[in-house]
Amino acid sequence: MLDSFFKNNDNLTQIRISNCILGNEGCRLLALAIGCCSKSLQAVMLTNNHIEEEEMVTVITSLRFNPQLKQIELFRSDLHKNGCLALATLLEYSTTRLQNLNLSSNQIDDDGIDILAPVLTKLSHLESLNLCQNTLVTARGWQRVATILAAPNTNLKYLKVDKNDGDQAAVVFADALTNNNTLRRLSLICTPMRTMTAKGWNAFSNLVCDTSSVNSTFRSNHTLSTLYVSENIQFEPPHLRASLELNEKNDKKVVPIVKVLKHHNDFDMKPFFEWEFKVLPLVIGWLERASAYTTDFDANIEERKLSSIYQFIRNMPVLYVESRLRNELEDILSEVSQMEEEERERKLRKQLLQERKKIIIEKLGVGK
Amino acid sequence: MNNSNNMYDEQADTIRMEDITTDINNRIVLRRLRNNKYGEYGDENEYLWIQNHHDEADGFETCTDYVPGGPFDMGWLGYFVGKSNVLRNLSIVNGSFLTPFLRGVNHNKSINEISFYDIDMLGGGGVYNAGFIL
Repeated sequence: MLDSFFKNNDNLTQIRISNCILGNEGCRLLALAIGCCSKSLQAVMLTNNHIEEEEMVTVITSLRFNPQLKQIELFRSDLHKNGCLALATLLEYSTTRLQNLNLSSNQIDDDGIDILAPVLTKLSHLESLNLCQNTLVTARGWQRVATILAAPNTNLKYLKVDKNDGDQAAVVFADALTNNNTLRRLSLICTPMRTMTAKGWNAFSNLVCDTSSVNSTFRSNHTLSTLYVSENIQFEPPHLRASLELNEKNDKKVVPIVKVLKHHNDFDMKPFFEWEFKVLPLVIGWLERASAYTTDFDANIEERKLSSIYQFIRNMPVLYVESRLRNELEDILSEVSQMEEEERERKLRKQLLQERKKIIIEKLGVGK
Repeated sequence: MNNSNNMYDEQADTIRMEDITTDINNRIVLRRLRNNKYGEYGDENEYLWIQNHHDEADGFETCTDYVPGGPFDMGWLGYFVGKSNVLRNLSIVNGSFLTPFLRGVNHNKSINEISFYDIDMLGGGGVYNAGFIL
């Protein structure tokens, strides 16, 4: 009935079919409709339409005629292994520029994840992935999903997954995010019987702000800004929420500096002593730049500067005295050299004046 | 255009809204579609919901929902949707009398987003086969 609409409407961007009963023939017609859609189509959303897997494979396969698709939603669509195979083929060879994929509430298991994960890792345009309520996936499957976050070309900004194995998946995702600088939001949906404890919470706390050293704090994850965990918030470490909020700042140069100032009252300068005093101006410069950033705590910049200078002088007194004497000697030599130069110039000027005086006297014949 | 559309074309400018609609909100929606202009109050002309009841009170000028009254009014609704240049979003929640409606929708080229909710395409609700829609 709507074949002409689907075929000729060059403005059609989105088709949504939700809670409808399609039947086998309906699925075949839907596949035909999607297949003949104009190239303006950006999103296909199918939710809870009582489609059997064989028909779902037909529908997924029809999406290959729309490689421009940016969003595919197959929520509660009874996806099993064959559906995953069809989807993996689609994502690998056709809709390679997909940005948003929702596969929540399906029958995907670890085998399905094994099929999908390698392809999802390659999708460099994918920004949002929803895999929650796939209750057959175990810790092994989530570990495979986590590899997507560690992929060098990942662009994933939002990930929604289950966490039905206590702390294990939390630790796995926290580890995978160590070097990730794209993911902003992570939702871990928990099953009531297997909740996340302090171990899982601490993994995320250390991820966004590892306070074990200045370097570790500086190299923490400064991108993840929303962590949704549905239970056991009593285990949430006190600094986690503040660090996540700090990560919301768009200027990513500021975030690590503020974290360092907040969690390290005094900087240990020992690691820099091997470069003697060459590092001290850099440290002072860094603190001066840091003083420009607004913080919700007293950063004590001036005290930190004095402390840094004091540590250098205290730990290298001889070097400091030698350095001071060398500086003084350089000043003296420079002054002497300047005086000698001025003396030479004075003599030269006097000589020029005398020669001029002689010429003038001769012209006037004063001596005769 | 087939004969059916010729019939609509001939009467489109002169037919009284009161004669082809069953309630005041349907009349508001249909009149706006016939005028085929951008919204007087906002984006109300860009949305159309075919559903079981009106969300807004009677006579609410910004209403965007249409409750099917029968095949006759749905045919006209489909015709004006087909002619519309400003409609962007069509959502169908009520599957009653869709055949004459969708015949008109087929001519539309302005809709960006089309949605079907809670429709039994196998039977019931006036739609007896998915072929009627898809």
